[in-house]
Amino acid sequence: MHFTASQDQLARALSQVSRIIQSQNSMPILGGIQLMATDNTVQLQTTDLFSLLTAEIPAMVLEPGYVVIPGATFSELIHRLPTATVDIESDTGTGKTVVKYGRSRTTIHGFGTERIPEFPGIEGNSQAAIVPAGVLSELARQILFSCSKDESRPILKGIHMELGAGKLVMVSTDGSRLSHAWVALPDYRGPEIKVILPAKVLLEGSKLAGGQQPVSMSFAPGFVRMATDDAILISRLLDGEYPEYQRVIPQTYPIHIRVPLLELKGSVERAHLIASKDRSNSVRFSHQVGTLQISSSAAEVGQAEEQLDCDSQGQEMEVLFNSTFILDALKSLTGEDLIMELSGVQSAAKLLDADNPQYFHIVLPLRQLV
Amino acid sequence: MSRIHRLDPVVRDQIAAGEVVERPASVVKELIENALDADSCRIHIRLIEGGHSSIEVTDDGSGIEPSDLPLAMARHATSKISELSDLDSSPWLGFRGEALAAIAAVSRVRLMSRTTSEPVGHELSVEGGVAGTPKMVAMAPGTTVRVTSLFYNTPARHKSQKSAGAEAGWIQHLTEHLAISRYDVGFLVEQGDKVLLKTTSQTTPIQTLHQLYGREVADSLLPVEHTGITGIRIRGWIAPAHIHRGTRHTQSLYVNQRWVTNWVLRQAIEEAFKPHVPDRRFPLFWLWLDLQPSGVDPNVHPTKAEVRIDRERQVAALLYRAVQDTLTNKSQSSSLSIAPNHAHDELTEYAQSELRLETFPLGDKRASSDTQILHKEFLELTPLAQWQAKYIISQGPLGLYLIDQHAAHERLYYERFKREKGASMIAQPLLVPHIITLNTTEWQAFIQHRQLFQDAGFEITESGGSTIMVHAVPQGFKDLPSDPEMVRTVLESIIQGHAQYGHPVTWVEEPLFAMAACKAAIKAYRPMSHVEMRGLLQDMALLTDPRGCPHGRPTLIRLSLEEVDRRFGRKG
Ligand SMILES: Nc1ncnc2c1ncn2[C@@H]1O[C@H](COP(=O)(O)OP(=O)(O)OP(=O)(O)O)[C@@H](O)[C@H]1O
Ligand SMILES: [Mg+2]
Repeated sequence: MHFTASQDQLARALSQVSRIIQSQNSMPILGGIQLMATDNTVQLQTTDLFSLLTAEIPAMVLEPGYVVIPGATFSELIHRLPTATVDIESDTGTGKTVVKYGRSRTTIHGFGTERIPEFPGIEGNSQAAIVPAGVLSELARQILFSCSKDESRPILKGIHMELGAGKLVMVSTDGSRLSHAWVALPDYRGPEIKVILPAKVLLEGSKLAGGQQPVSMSFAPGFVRMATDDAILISRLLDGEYPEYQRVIPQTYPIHIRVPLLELKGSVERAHLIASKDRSNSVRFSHQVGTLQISSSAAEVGQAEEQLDCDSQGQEMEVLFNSTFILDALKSLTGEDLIMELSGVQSAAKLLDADNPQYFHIVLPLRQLV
Repeated sequence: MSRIHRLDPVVRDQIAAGEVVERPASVVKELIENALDADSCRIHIRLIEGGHSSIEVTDDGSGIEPSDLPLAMARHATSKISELSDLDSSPWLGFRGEALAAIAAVSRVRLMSRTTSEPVGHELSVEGGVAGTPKMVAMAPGTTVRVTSLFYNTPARHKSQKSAGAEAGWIQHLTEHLAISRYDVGFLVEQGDKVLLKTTSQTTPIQTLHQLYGREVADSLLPVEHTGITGIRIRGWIAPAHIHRGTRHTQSLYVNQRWVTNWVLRQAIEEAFKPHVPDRRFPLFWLWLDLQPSGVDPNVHPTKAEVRIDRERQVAALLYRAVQDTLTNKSQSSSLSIAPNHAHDELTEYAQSELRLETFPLGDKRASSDTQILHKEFLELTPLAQWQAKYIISQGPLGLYLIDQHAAHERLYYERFKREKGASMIAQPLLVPHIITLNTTEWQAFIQHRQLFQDAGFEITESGGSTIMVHAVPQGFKDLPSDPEMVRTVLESIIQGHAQYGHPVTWVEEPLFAMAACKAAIKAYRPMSHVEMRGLLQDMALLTDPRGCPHGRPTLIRLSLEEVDRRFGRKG
């Protein structure tokens, strides 16, 4: 294999594909990047056995072929090159790869004739959903934090995704809180699809092409393919039953509170400072028409009590929440005001942007045991 | 001693029946107990062929009245009790009036005895349970029982016996246990002209331990002294955890002066040593337990080695406590010893560290009144480097320490959670109930302990068969999400946990704490800055037990300077 390419383009493609290389691997080959030169392009591929990430750059190919080279070393080297173009030639039998730049050269030993594990080829098709540029990263910011980080219920480490009826809906939950977001996809003409996307795949998908290009999503049984103009991510989907979450979202909320986001965030952050020192990690929200009190205490540390004016309706109520859950939800909101709706001391509360009803968060209150 | 009489048939029927004589060692045990009951000062045991051909036990005790000799050999005849209720206040080891008769039934016995008031002794031979006529014999005051041809008339028993060497060893260990409990009596065990064991009359058990196991062991022993709120008293000695053996021969437990084997209590004691004693090695201990006599019943097993103890679990927990307290106070950490340290070295090490501590700043000034510096030695540790992003290498006045950063963090969180427990119990309800199908054992454990789950903050309903639905779980610790699978973890530990006393908190909470601590702790493989390492070491000084993580692995290993010198062949 022998090709010449732009240092800048190669370096960027390498950063892109390096993202899914795991730092510790049982198989050394998984720490490698596979380069494949054909016609006038070079394909770079990496895999963690769960996903396969492919990036393509234009190149002048002198001799087609492939090689797998240790990812970290190769990527670092290319990033440090002083020249605008780089010439790469490797011996297909031994994997020995010579990187030439200007009058200098570095040789890196590749993996011989070994190749990274194969993935089923999934082609993009006319029924793909085209998600506009930046939308996936917006969705990721809005809901990713509610995913479970625990191994014990693997299905909750995924995002429930529903495609159809002109929109894309994504839901995440760790069992005690839930985030829900949707975007309109009026041009989607494909079949209705319900899948569970690993959280990591949504994150990686949202970073394809730096989030600057539309992403085309297509599906095959057990797999998803997300593609931009010059990168493709193919990944397995999670297999299993996602909980019936619709039932747990209350339909009516007798208490409706509107407060400036920054003020509430400040209050909760301060209350959290104290709450987080206590094992229960809880904050108490007390509502009276027109005021919202936020308080917390930790036995060995102290107490916090915050008083906020708000625009509200509904009865007086005191509810206890996990302060981290509330804070996470607040951090994901961006509008000037937020709306907090309570449905009872023991039932779910809803938090959302006053100006953007397209996403919201559900948090279940804590229960004090006597 | 009072005269021997036959037991009332009603009492007789209440006494645990079964085989008293299983092997030569059982004969030796019965005969020694008889001699001890006769207030002897010296007991001499002679064996031939591990007791298979002959056992002779001679004492200098009270002796038996000549006219009582036939009764002594008869079944259900004793001088020690009349009613079963006498047992509660009886100072004697024997009570069944059964031993000599049982021995005589399977061997040839020659009983010779002389009381101090008689000028001569009398002897009676019994063969196959049939007594001959008493004869006069010249002898010193006391009693000699000679047992020959054991099991000659029970061929099946005869065949299944251990080798003479093994049996002699067994008898030696048995005698050690008894000699320690009766340190005031001198024991001599001989086989042919070989002395297997010799102790002289002493005033404390530790002197006997010294005679038996040498100064190396005796000088390293840590005294245990503990009185529970209910008046239960525990005394004795344990060896520091880095001294251990391949067998349990150097463990004795005495309940109300009776040497007993009790699996549950032994387990509890061993548990306290656990983080530092390797697999299949056993700690050394000799512990005396004083319990209410009415709460101890020796009448459960024909050989009396097992006793029934009321509220056994509480007693076990107390033992665990006593041993653990002794270990955490007295030993800094397990030392990476090849040979045990000399007691002398240990002492000077202590003295040095005490001196230097005076000028050392005491950690976190904000620490509130209930966080005390419990292990000052950690304040003196200076981290040198991190190794493998996993261990902290540090130095202190007592040597070089390797600290497992994850285990240490885990211990830290664990103790903190335990401290904060009870402040407020909070449950996190689940949006969607979590369904778990249990296997039979899990299901049984769950049914039995339903209430404990509820108390801990779980809300669980049954949904047919062995399937349960979890609706709420105890609030996750800190920002860790509450995990309904904790139910299974708790069940697992309940199932395995019957022998675990390692835990002052109830065992539903225990696995929750341990699991949460593990999750909260930084994982192994994380680089730490110098400041972080120092902080961790200082925090360890505040722990009640910094020696092991909640899962029982050690947190640190110490390598003393002497040890390193020795390994490099330097003379220090
Ligand atoms: N070495 C001895 N010195 C003095 N008296 C003895 C001795 N050995 C036995 N006796 C007397 O013989 C009696 C019977 O002994 P034996 O061992 O059969 O029964 P025990 O000790 O009373 O009860 P157990 O069956 O529980 O041992 C004893 O009660 C005691 O009075
Ligand atoms: Mg007896």
